[in-house]
Amino acid sequence: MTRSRILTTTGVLALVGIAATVWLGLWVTPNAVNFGDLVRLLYIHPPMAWVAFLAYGMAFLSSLGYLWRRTRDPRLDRLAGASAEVGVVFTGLTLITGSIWGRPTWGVWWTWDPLLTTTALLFVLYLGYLALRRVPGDPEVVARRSAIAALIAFVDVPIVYFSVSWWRSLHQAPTVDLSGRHLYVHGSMAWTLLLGFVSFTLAYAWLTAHRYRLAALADREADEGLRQALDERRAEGEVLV
Amino acid sequence: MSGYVEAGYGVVLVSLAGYALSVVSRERKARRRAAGPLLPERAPGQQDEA
Amino acid sequence: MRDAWLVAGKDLRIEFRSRVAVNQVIPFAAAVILLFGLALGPSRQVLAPASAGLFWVAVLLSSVLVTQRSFAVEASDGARDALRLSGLDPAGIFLGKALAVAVELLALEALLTFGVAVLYGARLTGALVLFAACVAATVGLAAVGIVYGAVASGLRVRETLLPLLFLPVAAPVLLGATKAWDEALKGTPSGGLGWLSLLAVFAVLYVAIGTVAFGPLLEES
Repeated sequence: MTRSRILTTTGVLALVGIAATVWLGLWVTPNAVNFGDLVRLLYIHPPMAWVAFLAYGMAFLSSLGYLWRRTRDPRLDRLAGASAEVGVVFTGLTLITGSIWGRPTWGVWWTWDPLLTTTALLFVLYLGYLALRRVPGDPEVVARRSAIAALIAFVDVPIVYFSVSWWRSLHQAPTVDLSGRHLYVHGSMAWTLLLGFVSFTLAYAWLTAHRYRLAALADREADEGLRQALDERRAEGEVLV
Repeated sequence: MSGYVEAGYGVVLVSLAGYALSVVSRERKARRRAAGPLLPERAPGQQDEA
Repeated sequence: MRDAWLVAGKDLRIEFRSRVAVNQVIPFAAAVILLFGLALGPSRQVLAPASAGLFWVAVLLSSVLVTQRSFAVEASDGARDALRLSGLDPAGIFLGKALAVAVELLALEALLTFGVAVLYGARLTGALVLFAACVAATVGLAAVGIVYGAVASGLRVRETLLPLLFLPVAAPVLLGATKAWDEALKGTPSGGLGWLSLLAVFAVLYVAIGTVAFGPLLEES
């Protein structure tokens, strides 16, 4: 009971936090000197990206825990699946908000920046992972298979990032500063950004927990169905005897 | 405001809300199925007697 | 290690006798490079500079086929179970299957190189870098392919799932191998050395992961 109360509290806090972020971000904070009112996207885009990476990190760690025999537990597998799914949602939003930032700033919806390219590949990689998870089968087999796929996908991320950034640096393309690293964030802007990070992280926790519960319910339902089928077959056999 | 900013906020809020609602409603449905009579009515221990 | 040679020998013997690789995979790769030629137009000024990238995309697509073939061989007559019960070391099975796929891909790459030189008018310079890139990239591709092939094998949706899982992971190989070839074909092979080391890191990493992860994958289903 307390656990679900904590969860509800997290959800409410996330909701209030996001509402406050939107209010502060859209109406209270000032325009930035070099960015105009586009700076307001700063309060949502980096938190999206942060949550996406957090979610994949979580999925990776729980997959690793699942593969290690001593900590093998179906709960870890469910957590990995739940976290990856939420991660994919946030990756999609990272790409969309990044694109919306890019269009007015550089005049293009897309640029082959290392961060962007890595994020896009990450999106596809984890869509594959989720597709693999959805293939039915013996739960333990599915879990082990998915854990290995998650491992491979996660190891690929730094290699992709490194190779793409190297590729770009050799091309001598006009460099664009993606995240506005030269932007001087101060006062109400800094607080809004911080609030954005905190409340979207809370939203991640809430979403993952609910997705996890859904997976647990589905697993239990599958178990019940199997047990029922077994009982019926057994009853049939006994009638024949 | 330029419209880009509103579009960004709109996309984020709408998709997160949509995803949250879908997860919660699927969870509720699963819970109802789990609580309802999944197994046909059968006296406890019936299969042991037979 | 002896197990690896056994499995590789078995797979290669099957390929040699069944000639699926010769009759289907090589013509497929040839069709791919022909289609690239049609898509980009007949101009050699366009085709020759792009030949490295087109070559590696063709290799990547073919490696999906070769990997699928490598597990289709195990699917019939319960060969998969026989392999699992044979008492061979799972790491050995992995290395053997990866080695067989790598050998087949290398043979395919040799033919494709010839095709690219003829059709796209690419001038083959820096042969050493070209060859080293082929070896490093192929080992990496074979390792990833075999792990994902094992992940997807036995699933009804494996034909569609394997490319989706495999191709995004292979993106750094495509990038590294293409750039290494680019440098070599431009006549500045030393510029490709950095990319070679990237390919080598990828290959070593995924061979290591496969060696460790293949045991748990095989004991399933």
